[in-house]
Amino acid sequence: MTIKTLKPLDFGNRRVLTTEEALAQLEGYVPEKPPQNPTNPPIDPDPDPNGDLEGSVEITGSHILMPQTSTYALGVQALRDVYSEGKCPDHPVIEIAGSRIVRPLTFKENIEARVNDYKTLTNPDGSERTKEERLRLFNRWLDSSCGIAYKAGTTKFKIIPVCKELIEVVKNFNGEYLPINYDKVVGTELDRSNAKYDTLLTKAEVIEHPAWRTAVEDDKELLKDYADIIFTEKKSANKLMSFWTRSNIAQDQLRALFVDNLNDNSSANGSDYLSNYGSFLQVAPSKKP
Amino acid sequence: MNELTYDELKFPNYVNSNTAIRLRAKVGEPELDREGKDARPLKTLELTLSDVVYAAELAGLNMLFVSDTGRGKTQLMSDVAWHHYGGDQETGQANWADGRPSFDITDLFERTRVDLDSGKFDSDTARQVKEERVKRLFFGVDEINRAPGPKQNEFFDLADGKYTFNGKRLNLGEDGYALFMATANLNKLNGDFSGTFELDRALLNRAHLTFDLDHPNFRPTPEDEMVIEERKANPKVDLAPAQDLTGKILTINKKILTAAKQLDPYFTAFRFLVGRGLDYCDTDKYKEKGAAFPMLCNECGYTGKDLCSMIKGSSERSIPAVKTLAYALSYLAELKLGEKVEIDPLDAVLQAFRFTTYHGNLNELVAQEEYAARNQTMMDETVEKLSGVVNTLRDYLPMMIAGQDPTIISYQFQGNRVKAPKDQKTVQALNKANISFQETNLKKELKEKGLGVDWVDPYVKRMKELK
Repeated sequence: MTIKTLKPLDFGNRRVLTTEEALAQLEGYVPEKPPQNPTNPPIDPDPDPNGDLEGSVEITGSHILMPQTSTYALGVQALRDVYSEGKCPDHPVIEIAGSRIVRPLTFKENIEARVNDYKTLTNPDGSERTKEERLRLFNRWLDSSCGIAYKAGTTKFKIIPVCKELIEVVKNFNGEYLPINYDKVVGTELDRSNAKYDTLLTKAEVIEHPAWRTAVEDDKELLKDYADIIFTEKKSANKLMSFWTRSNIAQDQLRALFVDNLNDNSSANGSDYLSNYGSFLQVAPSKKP
Repeated sequence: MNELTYDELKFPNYVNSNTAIRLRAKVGEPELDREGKDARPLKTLELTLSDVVYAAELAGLNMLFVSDTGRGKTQLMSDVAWHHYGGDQETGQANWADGRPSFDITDLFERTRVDLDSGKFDSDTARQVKEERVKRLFFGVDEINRAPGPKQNEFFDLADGKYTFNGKRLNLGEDGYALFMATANLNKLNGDFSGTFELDRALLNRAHLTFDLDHPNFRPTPEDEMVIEERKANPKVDLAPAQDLTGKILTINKKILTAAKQLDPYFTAFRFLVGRGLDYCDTDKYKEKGAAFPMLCNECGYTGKDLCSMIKGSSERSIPAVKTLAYALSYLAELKLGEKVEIDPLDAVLQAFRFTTYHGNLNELVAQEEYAARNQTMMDETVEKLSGVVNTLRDYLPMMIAGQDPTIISYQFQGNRVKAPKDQKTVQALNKANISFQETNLKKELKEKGLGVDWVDPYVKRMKELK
């Protein structure tokens, strides 16, 4: 056996790019502009959810981390598919116009899933779960059915825990956001200028943060539990769990709110593009006796 | 000679299955994904206290075991002496001494030959060194602090691997390998142990690694205690069957030392961090801890004093030991698992650093007042804080090793937060794309945490030269 120089390991963090990688990414980038025809968003003519699946990581327990998809809509479609195949009969559904439609978990349900999974200390066979196992739901971001609507030209936005437009998104949608009429959206209205946004927060700030509180449907105990976990697992940091929002809004728009992975400080993010990957939790079928 | 096996190392009597350290590791041969990246999942590798002792033996690092009575430290040392070094009998490779006021080091290494026929006695020629004893690889002293201060000085030589005979310095051991191991009952708080003396700081520092067997993570588990209780009715130390592994240990030791001697930019950065970094004091007139530590830390109003008030810079003795143990842990992990194991150098070195608790770096006032003399607990919490700084450093190290100044810009790009080194071309590209960015700088981040940064520029300069 020989001894080699120890090499730094890749812990899967969102690492610092090299200058070359950053330049390659920025090359040819055109500054963001609102879509030319907002009522007719860009569409992938031939979407194939299965062809776009990545990292199919199954997690045993009450939830399954579904394979990552290349857009939010394809992730929702994948959920519809597994539901229609009877693979997740216990997954929450919503009734729209008399039809029962499977929906992504809400932001709050995702947080609950992480907290419960983290607090599960033993495997079904009685063996102790490792820290690594307890943190498995924290390793990738979790998309939700929670919408975040922005009002053009203002700092106002609304949070909609179960957002019909996102649940019904067509499978081939690959635009940045869904164009909407903000005033008609029913949700809790908040204002970016009334609290700290787009910056890391202390635990106390998180627990009292209006947008975090709204996102977890004002379940302060749950939010406290969750913040305890995050600040415990990232002991070295005093500030974590930012609430990212979109600024300089030129047009009313709807985006999805997700909770980021632990390495990225487990922030809430309402600023991402719907065309930029999907990552959902699926409720595992209950085990037959 | 066959290679050393993990089974050969396993202690026959001492039982301690408590997980002393956890290391993130990739195990097995690399499996590449479609993008050519290593697809092996990260695993958490758990090593017991016995494993750390095996690793320290392979690294040739001196060890001091401290605890209350009945934690098994003498049993542990006895198992090492007999099961790894063949015991202290004629054929063995171990020397064993008990710390007591009457201890005399000459008893161990010298004999007096008197020629009765000649009727003359010349002390210079009559005194002879026991060469076979000097060449032994293991030197164990049980209850070292039962010997008073001046007597303890005699152990300095043992710990340094030297013995002075007739004015001549002799090297102990073989091929530069001489392992010193000692046990002590420390009067941590209430002075429970009468008949013991305070351990000399210089001696503590010569013990490259210290093991506090009272610490919850280092002492045997309740299950272990049951095993011990059931196994022996006799509470005295069990003598292990003699087994001499010295040849195998020496072979591995050479490999470990060769690897540890290489310049490694990750270890070098860590060395600076726990050396010059922790010796810095922002509020001191001369910007160094010096006499200010720890007396003035309590009153200090510096906002980032969380870490810097807990610990001062490590000595030149501690740091190489930590690096060598990190390599030895990597070797031991492979030996234990029987397959390829990769551990992160910064993870390994942080874990190894935990075993320098009694080197005099910790803020003794805080240790007494806030931790009730639970120094190892304080050390673990300090290392936890230090790991936060190390994580900050992780972001900057690749660019520093590439010879770039440690400044990171972060910006939102296509919905993601992106971090990249600050570079003129990148800044121009971002300006062109109308993307705003924020800057962070390693020196600023370290200073905010109360750590010295005078090493950063020379480090980057040297890396640039080596590029």
